[in-house]
Parts: sequence; structure tokens; C-alpha cells
Amino acid sequence: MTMTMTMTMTMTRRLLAGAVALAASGGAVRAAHAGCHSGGSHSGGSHAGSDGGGGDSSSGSSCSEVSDVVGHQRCGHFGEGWSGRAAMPALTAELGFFTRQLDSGMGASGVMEHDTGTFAYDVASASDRATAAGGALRIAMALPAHLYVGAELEIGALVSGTAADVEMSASDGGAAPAPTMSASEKLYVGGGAVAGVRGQLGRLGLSAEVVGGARDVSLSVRSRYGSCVLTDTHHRTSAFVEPRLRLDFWVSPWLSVAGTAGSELDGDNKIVGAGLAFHLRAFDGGL
Amino acid sequence: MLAPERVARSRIAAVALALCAGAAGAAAIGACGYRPGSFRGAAGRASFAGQRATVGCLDVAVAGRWSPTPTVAQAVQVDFGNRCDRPVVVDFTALRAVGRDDGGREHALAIHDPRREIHPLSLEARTAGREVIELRAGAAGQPARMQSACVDVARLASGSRGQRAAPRWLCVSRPPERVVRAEGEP
Repeated sequence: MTMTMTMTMTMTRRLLAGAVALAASGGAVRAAHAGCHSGGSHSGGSHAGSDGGGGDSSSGSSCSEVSDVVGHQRCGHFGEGWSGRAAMPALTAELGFFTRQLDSGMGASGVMEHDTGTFAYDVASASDRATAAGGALRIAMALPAHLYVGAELEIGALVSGTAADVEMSASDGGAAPAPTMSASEKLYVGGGAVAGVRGQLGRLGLSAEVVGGARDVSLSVRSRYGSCVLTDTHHRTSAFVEPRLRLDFWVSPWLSVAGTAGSELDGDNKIVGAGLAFHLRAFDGGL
Repeated sequence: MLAPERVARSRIAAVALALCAGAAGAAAIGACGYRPGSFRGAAGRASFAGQRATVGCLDVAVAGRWSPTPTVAQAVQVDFGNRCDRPVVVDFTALRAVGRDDGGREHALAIHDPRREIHPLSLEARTAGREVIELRAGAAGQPARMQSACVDVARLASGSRGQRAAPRWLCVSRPPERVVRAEGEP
């Protein structure tokens, strides 16, 4: 899963850089003025019928354009500036948030070693169910036949069902007072691969997808004894397969707002989420 | 060292911040697409110059570029925008053109493509492009100077090539001014 997350984050960086470049380029239309057009734009009729190819000399590695007429260009070529985007993959980067229900029953035990002795403890969640919420990052690529694949990462925290009881089960501290123990912070990290099929109706897209991966809930136990604070972190990792339904609304050719809902096969662990999806291809290239 | 709870909160705040930034960027990106029928490029771009037509998924405009000196070639600027929500293949090889010289003789014109670089290419949905091509008479004709030229753009949007699309001729004529400027220029 760590590798998946690393790959996901790397892809995200590249995609976000692409999105920045997309915006910086002036959006949809670069027209035919891309490349080194400024070196000698074709104004008026000074070019028609002329050879145009042997004029200025280029200096160094920079190319000095002499014409924007196809066949007379020194630096550019036919299609430059308007045909490139259609050759790009139909990638999507999505930022969003989610809230999900999941099993919270997290039991843990451990030992804290203070100067005055060793203290064993047991932790039990007060509730079987918990709710996690946080941010989600998703990378997807549209494929022919209305299919898509991708990966996603969720990072958040448990926002309900976080209460946990900590009991000291044994100690060898003798007559020394017991430390104060608490367990509250629970971080949630999940991620996995996604595959789905999408139908398009105007600006609306309805998708059915399956997400498979793993999730991790971490619990921190703190033991305070005077000025000494020790922390133990416990993890509970589990795999999941989660069918979902997803609705996209295209705000623009390169942006959609998405909502998703689903649950695991047992129907217990449900998720609801929403996000902003940035598409490298307009309307995902019509795929 | 930050407590895990604070770390979680800061991460969530970062995501929220990114979403806000994304929304702001989205507004900018959303405003940049080609609007069907606008015959205008992205924000800040001038309108398509010359005569206009809509063929299939393409809005097309053709403007002439004139040389003050006698020439056997005619350069035309072709602006095109994809009005559909899917890519469309722009096929310049499917263009037909005719020209009329100063003597009133008509000549079939062909795109000058010495490097054979012109071939059908895809234009992304809701984007626009421009090409300036040079039209030349065949070897048989040596007109002194082109007075006008007409381009049939009916099959510029590929897909209509195989069909018997009705011709859509867009014509340009030499302006009468002594000082000649490209059409569309102020």
C-alpha cells in the first residue's frame, strides 16, 4: 500500500503540474501561435508567394521563426499549438473530501516503561462503529468503451466513535503511583485502486465503480507520568472492496464536480464523498 | 513534535485550502473553452477573421493575406473552433480551393506543402486553432496575380469527408486599397 500511495502522490504531482501548465497556457486555446511565433509574424501580404525559408539565421539553440505559413515555417510545423491536447491521455486529478462509517472496534495492548516501572495496558474502543472524515485525492484515466481506472488516497481522522477505554492490566512499578493513560487520537488512511464504467448524458456522468484496497486506523496511547510522556501508536489495517456509484457534473470541459456514495459488500461500511475533478482532456476526450 | 490530532487537522485544513484554490482555478479554466458559434478564441483572443461557416463540429473562418507584389500563390488564414464535446479530426487535405487571377481566369489551387507535413489531426473538444496555408495554382497555370480565392471547407471536419457534404465555399478577395493589410487587422 505504501508503494501505491507513493505512486499515487507522484502521479498527482505530475498531474497538478500539468494542470498549472494548462491554466498558464490560457486554457483551451493556444491557437496556432505556439512555439516561436514572435520571431517574425506574418503580417499583411509580405509573405504570400515568397519563399520565406532562408531569411534570418538562428542564434544558438533558440529558433527564430520567419513565418507562420505552413511550408515556410522554420521552427513550427503544421498542427503545432492546437493538435497536441488531443494526443494526451485522458487523466483526471481530483481533490475532495469524504466521510465514511467503519468498524471501530480496536483493541490494543502494550507496555509503557517509565523510570519508576513498567506498566501494561489494554485499550478497548467504547463503540463498535466510528465515522471517519478527511480529504481524498484521486487519479484516474479514462479508457475506451467508457471505462476508467485509477487510484485514490484518503487521509483523515475518526470524528466520532473515538472514545476508548484504557486499563492498566499489570505493572511492576511497586508502590509507585500509576501513570495517567489516555487514548484518543485516531488517524485514518486508506487507499486503493479503482475501476469503473461511466455513462454520459449531456453534462452529467453516472458511473459505477469498484474500489479495492486497504485502510489503516491508528490509535495513539499516551502515558503521562510527571513530566515524562510516552506515546504508543497502534495500527489496525484491513482490506476492503467497495462498490460505489458516482455522479459527475461537468462545470466546464476541464472541470467536473463529483459526488460518490457506496458501501462495502456487507453493507455496513458506507462512504459519501464529493470532489473537484480536473481533467487533462476536455470531457475526458469523449471516451 | 505535533500531536497526531493536530497533524490530522492540519492535513484536513490543507485539503480544504487546496479545494478552495482548485475552485478559484476552476473558474479560470472554465472560462477558457471555445464557445460554439462565438468564432472567437480563448479569452483575450481576437475574433476569427474573414468569412465564417459552420461545418459539422467546426466553426471555420477564412481570411486572405495579400501580397502587394505579383505572385502565383495565395495565403489564407484558417481559424477553426471545435463546438462539440468530443475531439474532431481536422482534415486540411480535404480542402478544395479555386482562385481567379487578374485576367479573370479561374485556377484550381492546391495547398503548398513542400514538407508534406499536412495531415489530419485531432482538435480537442472546445478548443480552437489556426493555420495559415499557401494556395498555389497547378503547374499548368501561371497567373500573374491572384484576385480572389475560394476555399470549400465542407469536408474540413473529418467524418463529413466520406459523405457528400454540400460545398461550403468561403471566399476572399483582394482589397482595393493600395496599401494592403491582412483581413481582420485594424
